[in-house]
Amino acid sequence: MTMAAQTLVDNFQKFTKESLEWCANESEESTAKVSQAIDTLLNDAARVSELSSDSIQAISGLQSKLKVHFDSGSSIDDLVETLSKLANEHDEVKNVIHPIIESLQFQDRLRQNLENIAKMIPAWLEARQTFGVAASQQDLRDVGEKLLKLTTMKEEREQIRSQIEGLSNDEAQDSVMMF
Amino acid sequence: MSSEAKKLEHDQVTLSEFDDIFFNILSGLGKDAVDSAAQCTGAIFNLSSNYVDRPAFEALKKFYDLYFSEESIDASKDTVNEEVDNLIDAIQEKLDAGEDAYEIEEDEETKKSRLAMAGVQKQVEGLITINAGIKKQIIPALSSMQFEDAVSQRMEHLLDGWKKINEFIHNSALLDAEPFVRELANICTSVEETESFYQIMLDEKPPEGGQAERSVFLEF
Repeated sequence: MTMAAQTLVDNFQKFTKESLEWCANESEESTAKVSQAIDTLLNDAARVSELSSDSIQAISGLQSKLKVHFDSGSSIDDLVETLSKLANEHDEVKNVIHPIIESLQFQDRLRQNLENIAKMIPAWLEARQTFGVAASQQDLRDVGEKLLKLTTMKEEREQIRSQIEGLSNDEAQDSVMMF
Repeated sequence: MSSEAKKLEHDQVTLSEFDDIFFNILSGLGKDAVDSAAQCTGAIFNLSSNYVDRPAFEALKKFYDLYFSEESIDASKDTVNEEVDNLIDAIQEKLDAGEDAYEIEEDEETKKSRLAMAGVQKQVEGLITINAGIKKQIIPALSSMQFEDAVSQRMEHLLDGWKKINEFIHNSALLDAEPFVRELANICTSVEETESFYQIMLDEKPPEGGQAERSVFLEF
């Protein structure tokens, strides 16, 4: 049986989606290992002895919060807010909490990057089917605007604007990163 | 990154130009994703530095720098392997001819590359044989490195795959795509990825062997 070019494209699109999901899951699993890192920290008697009981309690609390987060897959924003509050209340644990917040934020950013790429490929394929052999500059800008709507970060929009001229630019929000 | 979009010289955009524009966007977005993965690893490294013993952390960091340095090890690995193969062939020829194998000449550059790769290999072996206590400490950082490498590879394979598909569609769209798909399977490097590729693209199991278990160096 022969395979048509359209089947090839459709299947590779599915493969792309699955690969990007796999990457996002790998990233989550990797970030979830920070719980192990905290466990190791709490088991380090020499370091624990240098911390106040308040801070040790805070780190233990942090570990429980992370566990709940990774088990439930709840929103990173809520967790980051809780962690930031904890860091502000306990100066001694800032150097533990800040890298965790950063790691969670980058992981969230990566997930968004991957999800958005997965959404853009069908938009491109759909557009190229309607074009025939060529498209006007306006058609290209329309596709560009569609792609912009599929982004969640300024950096992604800049990538699109760097390739298609004349696209709208009403950037009001700053980057999602806190640090 | 330039904020100036490239100006096309004519009013019409050909399909090929349109595809190129999209691939440039896709490449840029893919690079951003890989950068995010690298930053994620960096943050976990910062966390690890709080509790991993200094010597273990230094070794880990050095290995990370070597493994993910700008000039990828992958780029030099194949050349070094080829040169080592040539060296072995030359030794074998000498031995077969009843001559002294120690007289094989190796130029200075080749020798340096080979020794550098041997150094990296030693680092890997050091980490693999590291005692259980330290290994437990460095797992988050190692795991993070692995995922960064895996994300980077998968993104590269997808971009490469779409580029090849694009060429196929533009040049051979009326032909049977199956032989092309079987050729395309070579973009996959891990067992997981290969299985997924064959399942989705050809609805069959992959052929036995050929793919590494994973490109990573430690399993947890």
